[in-house]
Amino acid sequence: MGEWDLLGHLLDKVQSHSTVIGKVWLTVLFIFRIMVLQTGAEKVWGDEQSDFVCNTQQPGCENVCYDLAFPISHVRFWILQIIAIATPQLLYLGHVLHVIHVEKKMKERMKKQEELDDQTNLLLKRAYKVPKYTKSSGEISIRGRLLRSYVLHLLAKIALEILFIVGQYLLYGFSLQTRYVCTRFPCPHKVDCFLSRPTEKSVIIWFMLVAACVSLVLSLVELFYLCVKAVKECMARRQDYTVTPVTPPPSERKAFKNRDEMIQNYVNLENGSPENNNMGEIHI
Amino acid sequence: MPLTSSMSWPALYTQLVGANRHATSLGKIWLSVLFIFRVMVLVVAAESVWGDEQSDFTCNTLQPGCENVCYDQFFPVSHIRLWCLQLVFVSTPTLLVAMYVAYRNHRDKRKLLQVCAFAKGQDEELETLKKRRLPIAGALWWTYACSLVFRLLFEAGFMYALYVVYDGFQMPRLVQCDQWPCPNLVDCFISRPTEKTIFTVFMATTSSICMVLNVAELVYLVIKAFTRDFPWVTQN
Repeated sequence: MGEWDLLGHLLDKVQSHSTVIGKVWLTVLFIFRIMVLQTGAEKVWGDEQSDFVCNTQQPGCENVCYDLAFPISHVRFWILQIIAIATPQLLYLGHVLHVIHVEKKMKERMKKQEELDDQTNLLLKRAYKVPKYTKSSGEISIRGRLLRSYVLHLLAKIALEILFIVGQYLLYGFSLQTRYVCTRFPCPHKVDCFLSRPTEKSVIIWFMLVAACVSLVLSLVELFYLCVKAVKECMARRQDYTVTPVTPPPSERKAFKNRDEMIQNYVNLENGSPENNNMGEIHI
Repeated sequence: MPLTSSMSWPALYTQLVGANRHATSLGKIWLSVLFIFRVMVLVVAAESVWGDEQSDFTCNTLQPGCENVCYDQFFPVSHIRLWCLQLVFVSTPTLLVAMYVAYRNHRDKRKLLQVCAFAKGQDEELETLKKRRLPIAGALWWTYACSLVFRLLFEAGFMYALYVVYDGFQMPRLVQCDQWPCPNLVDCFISRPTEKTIFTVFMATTSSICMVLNVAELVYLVIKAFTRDFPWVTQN
């Protein structure tokens, strides 16, 4: 896996900050796509140009016909595809690392605050922010901005995957024919050119296509799963939400009839409103 | 064995990651972009595209030696070699920073040993010295800024060299050559010109992205130094 090690190492880091389906997606990527590409596809396409033979003696004709038939080789196309779909994940990793870095700094600041006396503590607590993403166990939970970033990366991945699958279809179709007919200078007339190992190549093309579709389906399922979870949590929170009357503005405020009413109002205010999260919290 | 595999890119990566501990976030992003989008693509993809560049360079002549001289005329330095050199040169300024950090650590270690020669907990202090992350200020700031400027110069230089040697980023399908011993103006056909154009454009794009990152990092460093030395400017 030599050259893919760095990519593997970086994508592994994201694993701990993805959903379960995200982890499955990563495994599919590494085993069914990268490994197959390295061990199988490269050997099959190894003699693609040397064994591309045209029925002509005209020098240069084979070169130009090969160039016309394969503007970019399948293997290179798949390499670019894998790099392209890994990129949104790497951008998400960047965001996660940034969040971890910021939260670490906040925690350090909070530790320093604890050493101050209570009075200054009270004043400073309101001024400083509190770590938002770190759970009590020390892990990062995917919520708020991080969740938004995760969903965006999923959408980008899906879009790129579809783009490359459609691109491959438009360039080559999904199987290779044995014969390619070519009429390009300097070929003197319509020339028959014969590909090397078309059947074996078609098998691998189908395999890589299926792997790409599986990855696409996994990404779609993950998106759907996140949506469903978000809706469920939203509904659950709405049910827990006890409606308390909001304190009326001073002009409309009446004097409390008795002491009990005043205490009840105070208690309501103390309970406060639920946390104001834009996208809600997802515990994965 | 292709040249780049024996050049041991992982060893270079280890060196750069060590030096990159003292880099800004943009520097860390730059390193990842460098290794994933440039080194990996070079080793995994580009090499196989250029692998048969001379063997499949065909000229419309039976004259022996004509293909050799024509190939040599149009490809004085192969793209792959230029990119390897570019990547090596671009990585080198980071080692400047590593050297400076090593010098600082050595100096501080000596001071520490002199000061607390008989104190306990000396080993712990030495450990923290090794693991600490120096703030980018003073001489380190200048070293870092210089390394960024050199990086930019090397990137730009190599991109320009590639553009000049090959007359743009597009690979022609046909070149015409009349070097001795070719008997007349001979048509020579290059192997896989479209694929080569695609990868040349890809590498040029990633090179530009790296240059943009370097410029952004330089601007960030300058602003950071400015706000540190003149804090009253940012206070209203």
